[in-house]
Amino acid sequence: MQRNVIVVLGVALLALVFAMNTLFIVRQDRQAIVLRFREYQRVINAPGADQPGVYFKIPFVDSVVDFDRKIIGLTLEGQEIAASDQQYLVVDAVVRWRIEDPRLFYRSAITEEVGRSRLETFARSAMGRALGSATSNDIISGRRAELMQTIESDLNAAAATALGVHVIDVRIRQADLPPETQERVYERMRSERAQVAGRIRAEGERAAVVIRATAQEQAEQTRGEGDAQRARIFARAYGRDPEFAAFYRSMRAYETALDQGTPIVVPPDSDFFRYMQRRNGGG
Amino acid sequence: MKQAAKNGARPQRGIGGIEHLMPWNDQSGGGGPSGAGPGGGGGPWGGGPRRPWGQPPRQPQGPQGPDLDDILRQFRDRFGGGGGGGGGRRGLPWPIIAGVLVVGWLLTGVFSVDEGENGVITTLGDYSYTTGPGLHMHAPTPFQAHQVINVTGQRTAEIGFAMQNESAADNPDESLMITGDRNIVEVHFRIYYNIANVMHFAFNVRDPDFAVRAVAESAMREVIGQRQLEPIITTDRAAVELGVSQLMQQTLDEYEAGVQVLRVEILRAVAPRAVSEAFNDVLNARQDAETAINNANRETARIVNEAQAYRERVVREATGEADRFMAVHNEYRQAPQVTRDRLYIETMERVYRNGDTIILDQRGGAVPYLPLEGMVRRPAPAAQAEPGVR
Repeated sequence: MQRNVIVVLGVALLALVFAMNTLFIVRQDRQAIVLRFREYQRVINAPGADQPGVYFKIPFVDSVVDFDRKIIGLTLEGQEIAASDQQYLVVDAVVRWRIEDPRLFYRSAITEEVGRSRLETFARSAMGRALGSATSNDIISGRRAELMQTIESDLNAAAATALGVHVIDVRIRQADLPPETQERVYERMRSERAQVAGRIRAEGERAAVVIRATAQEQAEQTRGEGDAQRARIFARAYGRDPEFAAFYRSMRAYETALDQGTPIVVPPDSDFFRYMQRRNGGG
Repeated sequence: MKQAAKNGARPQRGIGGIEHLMPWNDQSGGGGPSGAGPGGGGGPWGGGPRRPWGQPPRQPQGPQGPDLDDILRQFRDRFGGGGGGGGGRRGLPWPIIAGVLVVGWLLTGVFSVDEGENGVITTLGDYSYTTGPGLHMHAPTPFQAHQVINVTGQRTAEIGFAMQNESAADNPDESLMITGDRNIVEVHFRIYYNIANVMHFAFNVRDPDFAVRAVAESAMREVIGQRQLEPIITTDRAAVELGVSQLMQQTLDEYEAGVQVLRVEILRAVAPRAVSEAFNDVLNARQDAETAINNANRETARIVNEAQAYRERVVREATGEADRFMAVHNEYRQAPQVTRDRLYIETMERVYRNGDTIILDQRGGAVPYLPLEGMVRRPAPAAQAEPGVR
């Protein structure tokens, strides 16, 4: 019985070793090429063909190289680009790509690492070409989407034939001014703001002066109305008897105009003193 | 069986013998654990204090020796190729080991999925199905495999800053962006997203969370680049958020990333620190202007009211005075001469009483000397400036 067990186990072990060398699984998110004595045989589960599963190979004769089938991100950082208006920009971009033709990819790059760095070279030069012929304004805002599209198709034309990859898209993540320029931008922003601030203050002051002047205008008009009414009232009253009015008003004026202690020199023959000299008055 | 016999023969069960027995006795899968049950009260280590390791009373006849010998003998029997039909005790372990291996192997197919997670099962590498939460089993390892992915939980990505002790630390590398009018703005924002399609999320894009982040950054810069600084930091935030969200979704759909962007939230959109003072000064200028206008308005009220008060005053005074005149005039008409004289004399009376009156007869012709200093209570540049004065 024990020997049987050992035999069974041995057979199982052999079967396992054999299976491990003949069968291989290609996962949904992987793709593979089969090589016989390093010579290309076939490709399994490349993008476009949905064929994950178990596959057979001849042990020790065939070998399998597998690659990722997912979309891979390639980050390009800090590329300095002189736009067509001589403005330097520091551009970061992300290239999303996928191995589309694993055979070609294997032949030209062998590993994903190598393929990635070769793609990066392609991408940097494609970016330089596309962005170098655009103005910095276009890169920053105006035609960004369009430029990204240009880089993508440029890159696809070059990379697809050379590397067997497909570029899904290129996205400019940052397009920034280099630090020296940035300081100048800040300077300009400050001066712009100072200008705005100055204008607002001046407008405020102007408004304040206008408001005061308007108030003054209204005030003078009001005073004038008052004066006019006063004149009318007096004219109507005094007009009844101008002669008496003059006398009456003069009397009041003498009284109020002369202060306490004002020296007054009066001749004794004045009207006031006429009884001082003659009992019957009369000059 | 051998084990049962041994258990029965053991002199002091439950005191501590069992823990010595167990390691060596555990030849059958079930024997060991169930054997521990009865002695469980004392526990494997409970016996320790009662019988310290230092002086075990029956150390010589202790169970270890014989058991170890047994085991060694068994091994020798097995590998020495003892007869096939030998006792049960020789053949038994093999199926058990095989069974354990098989069970262990089958267990590689057991997995649990938490609430809010999904399990993605692939059969021979090919996507088969997705499961909800719970304990699940699939075919063991080379045949089927699983990935567990959190699906309902909202994922977030924070861009432009990093949370440190509840406060946002600016990351200028990410936060500074150029606006359409060539200014620089500092933006902190957060993306909320979740997984719309687990299969796509699992298989289509490498490092999808990083991809979402990169797409978000790119989309934000594109949207900001199409707008002016002033509206971005004031009124247009919602529009920017919406624009970024749409652009992101569109891009991620192109990748078939299986991600749904729920919301883009701008937490901060301000002028960069280097120019914030200038920006604040604009706000200050607005305040200053408003203050100037308020002050002017306040003065307006004063000026206008003063003028109205003046008008009111002079009119009323004039009216009063005119009424007074007319009242007097009415009486005057009754007796003109008398009233006139009376008015004159009364007025002069008051005038002369209040003033310093000097009565001077000028008919003599000579200019008299008047020591005004002594006579006048208050010196004044009087009507009669005399050469000798002072």
